[in-house]
Amino acid sequence: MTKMKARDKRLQWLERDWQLYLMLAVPVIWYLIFCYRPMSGLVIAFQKYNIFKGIAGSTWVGWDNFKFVFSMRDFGIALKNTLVLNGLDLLFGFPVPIILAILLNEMRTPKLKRVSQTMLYLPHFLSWVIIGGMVLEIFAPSSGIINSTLLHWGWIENNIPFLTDGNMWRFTYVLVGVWQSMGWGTIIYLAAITGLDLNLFEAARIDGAGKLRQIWHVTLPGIRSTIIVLLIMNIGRMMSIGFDRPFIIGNTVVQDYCDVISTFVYRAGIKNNQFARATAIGLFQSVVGLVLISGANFASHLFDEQGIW
Amino acid sequence: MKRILTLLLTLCVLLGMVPVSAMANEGWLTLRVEMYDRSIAGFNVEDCWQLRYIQKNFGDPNKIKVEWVPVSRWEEGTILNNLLAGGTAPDICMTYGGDMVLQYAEMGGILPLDELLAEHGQELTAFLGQEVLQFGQFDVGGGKLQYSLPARRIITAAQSMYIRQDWLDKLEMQVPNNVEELYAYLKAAKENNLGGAKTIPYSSDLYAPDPFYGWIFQMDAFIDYTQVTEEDWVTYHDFHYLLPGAKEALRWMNKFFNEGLVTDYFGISNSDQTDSDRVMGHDGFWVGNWDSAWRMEMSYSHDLEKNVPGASWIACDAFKAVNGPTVHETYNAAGQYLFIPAWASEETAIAAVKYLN
Amino acid sequence: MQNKLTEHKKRLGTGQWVLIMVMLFFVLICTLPFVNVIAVSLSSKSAILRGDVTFWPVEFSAKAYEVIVGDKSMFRSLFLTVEITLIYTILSMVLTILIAFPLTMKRLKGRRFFMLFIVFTMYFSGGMIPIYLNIKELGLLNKKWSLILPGLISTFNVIILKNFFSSLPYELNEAAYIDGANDFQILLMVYLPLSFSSLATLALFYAVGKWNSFSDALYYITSRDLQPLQLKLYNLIKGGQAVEVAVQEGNASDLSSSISESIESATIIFATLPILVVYPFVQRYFVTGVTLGAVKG
Repeated sequence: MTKMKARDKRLQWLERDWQLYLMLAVPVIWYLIFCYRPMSGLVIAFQKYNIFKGIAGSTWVGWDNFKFVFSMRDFGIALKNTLVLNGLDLLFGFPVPIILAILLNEMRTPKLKRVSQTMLYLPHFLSWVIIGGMVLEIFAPSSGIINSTLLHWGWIENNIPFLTDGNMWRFTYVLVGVWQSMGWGTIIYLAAITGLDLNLFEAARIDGAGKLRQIWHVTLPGIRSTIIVLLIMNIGRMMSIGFDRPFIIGNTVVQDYCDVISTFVYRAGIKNNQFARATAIGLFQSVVGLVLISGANFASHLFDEQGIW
Repeated sequence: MKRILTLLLTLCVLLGMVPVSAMANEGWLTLRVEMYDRSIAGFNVEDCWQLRYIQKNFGDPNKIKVEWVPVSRWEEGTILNNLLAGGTAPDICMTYGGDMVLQYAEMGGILPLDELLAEHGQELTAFLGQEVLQFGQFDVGGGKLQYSLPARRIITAAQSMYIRQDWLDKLEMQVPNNVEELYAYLKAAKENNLGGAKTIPYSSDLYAPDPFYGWIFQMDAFIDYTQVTEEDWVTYHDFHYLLPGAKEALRWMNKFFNEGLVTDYFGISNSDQTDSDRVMGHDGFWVGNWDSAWRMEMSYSHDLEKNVPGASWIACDAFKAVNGPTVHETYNAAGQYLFIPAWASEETAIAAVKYLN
Repeated sequence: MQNKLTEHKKRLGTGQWVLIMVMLFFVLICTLPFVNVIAVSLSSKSAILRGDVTFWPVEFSAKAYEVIVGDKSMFRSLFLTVEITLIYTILSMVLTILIAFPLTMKRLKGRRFFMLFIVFTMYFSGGMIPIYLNIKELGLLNKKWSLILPGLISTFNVIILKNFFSSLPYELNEAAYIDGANDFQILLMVYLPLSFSSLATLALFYAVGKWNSFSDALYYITSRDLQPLQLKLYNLIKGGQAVEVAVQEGNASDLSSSISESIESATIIFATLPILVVYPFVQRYFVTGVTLGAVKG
């Protein structure tokens, strides 16, 4: 009798949650087929990969690929720039969609609210080639709109080197990034705000809270988990960086500031020629990324937040 | 009525079962050839008059079905990598990356063509010539073999210098032959504001792959190539400014810039603005492709004449070398590289060489 | 109470006006570049070269659009892309929901393991060639499903959805259990109806992502009939931009695009218009408040 009870107890969770496991089944299969199956390719980072012989036929070189890449002087610079630019994006770019979402939510003119939200979204669709052209039109010395207008009015004496001075370039880079992605980010936060219970706002209003207080005490805490989750995920992405934005906006004058890991890989011709080295760099980025997100997640637990896992 | 309809339907079904191509391809060899797809409107890489011509005049007599495999031109390197890794590459591959071909040969992925060429490719060998062929010969351990067939580049001229004929006429000057004469021209152009309020005597903006691109002729004029050893050339040919004598060229460049004779945004890649200036008539001198001034897409001539009647460009050689022979860079004789993957069967390889021949 | 609320809505205080001004500024900086793109797409080449075009077409010319529309395969691509986007979005949403919901339930044994299982895939990937080989071995090369199946689930989206599910009060769950509902019913009848805003958001992300993508087709598709819209447009634009290509083919210092800017701009408009048309319909799910206060007290 006791034996049966013990066995029942152990499988109790299965009996109770079998439906949940059923739900998980199909997605997990998808992950296995499309994500985990090709993952054995990571091994290439440790090989002198021969595309004709495949993984099985290529020779093992251990850490050689990594050693080669890390010893390249430009790699160190690219690494530094990746972290700096991502850090600046996080610092200045992360809060903007949150603020915009709150502002949009507070609008009492529904038509304008909807139109605004749609328009904010537009830059997301412009290809980087077009954005590059616009950046030059606006920020170039002498002929750019900003410089020529300010010079014309006598507000400045010399051109502001938006694109040719290292630090100014970083500013331009972040600015363009914020402009391009703010509409997109707003959507997530708006959805979260929309899900908040209106009764809470009512209660706050009854208690005499003005608009700002309501935002501080109701809206922000309400979307706190969303903010934290996105923050953790952004921290996890600190070691990776897109290719388009630094490439299009960058130039050789500020190479020491604008070269990042993705552009470095492209410039050094690592992409096609040395596939194993590209895989090694990717593996390096992946490991660091995982460490970062784990750290951020752990930190969020320390603050009593749910985190990602 | 119903009977007629049923009869028609059955007829249709029966007809549908008959193979459309009466030209039965049984026993024919299929030859797959890589072809760049540039997504030109209305042009189908897999079915066009060129392919049909080839099929009729080469494929049919030899019992070979020729297929063109489209590969997007812009990512051809990466796509080719994938195709070769996956074993799905065409029988004749091509790429612009000569270094990639060497790598593929080293990996043992390419078929050496010496015997095949001798037997089936005489016209081809004659057309390409030894100078071109040698670009495709590599020694990866078994002696120097013909792994790849380079394409013969018909025009090897690279860049040229352009100067405004009408400005020269106005200043009553001859086409400059050396840097001092050019300097005099640029200075006079600036003083007389020949391009209007915004005059850019020497127009140059950044060409990302080579920052000194617009100045190579100037630099080459000061470099004494008789002093440049082969080792120097191999080390520095991408960066002419490190060769002996280049410093003098840089001094001249600085002089030009400090006296306001050069585009002030020369350090930025700002082709839109440069184009605009050139077409509006502000530019007096620039370096470009061997035929840039007359290319219709950029309209440096066409639109310029519309905006500034009487304006025209003339190609010139403004930099006679200071010492030694005047050296200009050209493209090498070879263009893209064709090769046949090592896994190709013998008859496929023979068919391929015949095709190219 | 009711009157006070409506009264609030009728008059717009100064706070509202400041808000409107600020919002207008943002809207302008986002819209004006787009307006410029539309203007360029409808202007003549000479006008563009002169730099005359700002926000209104100069020397009106619809030639760019003629070039795009004249290519009949463009419409085939358009329909194909619409079809793929629809199928993809539906499948993605189903799978995302199916995995996000169980992960929300704290009682699920192995929950942490599954979370790590999917988060791991956000960071580690086999690389281009192994992925290509995988697709090839699955027999998907040059097939429509190669544009749908890979990338079907975005772990990022799963996390967002799971986060939203977690924010719903657990009492709902308990109440439903007491009423005798099983997990499937709870998902369908309790969680989903309350998550419209998040679901709409994610559906939009998936749809737009798929609509804009072309790199999968670039590597997996050779046949003309299966080229999605963005791939064709990418090829069209790239025709004028690739510097390395220019160098290789004897066109070095081809600084400007050999394809006219107006075609490039028309391309952007052509590719974006369908999304912009659909967008307002989806938008109402996360802009206006759709909240059901189902929690007692």
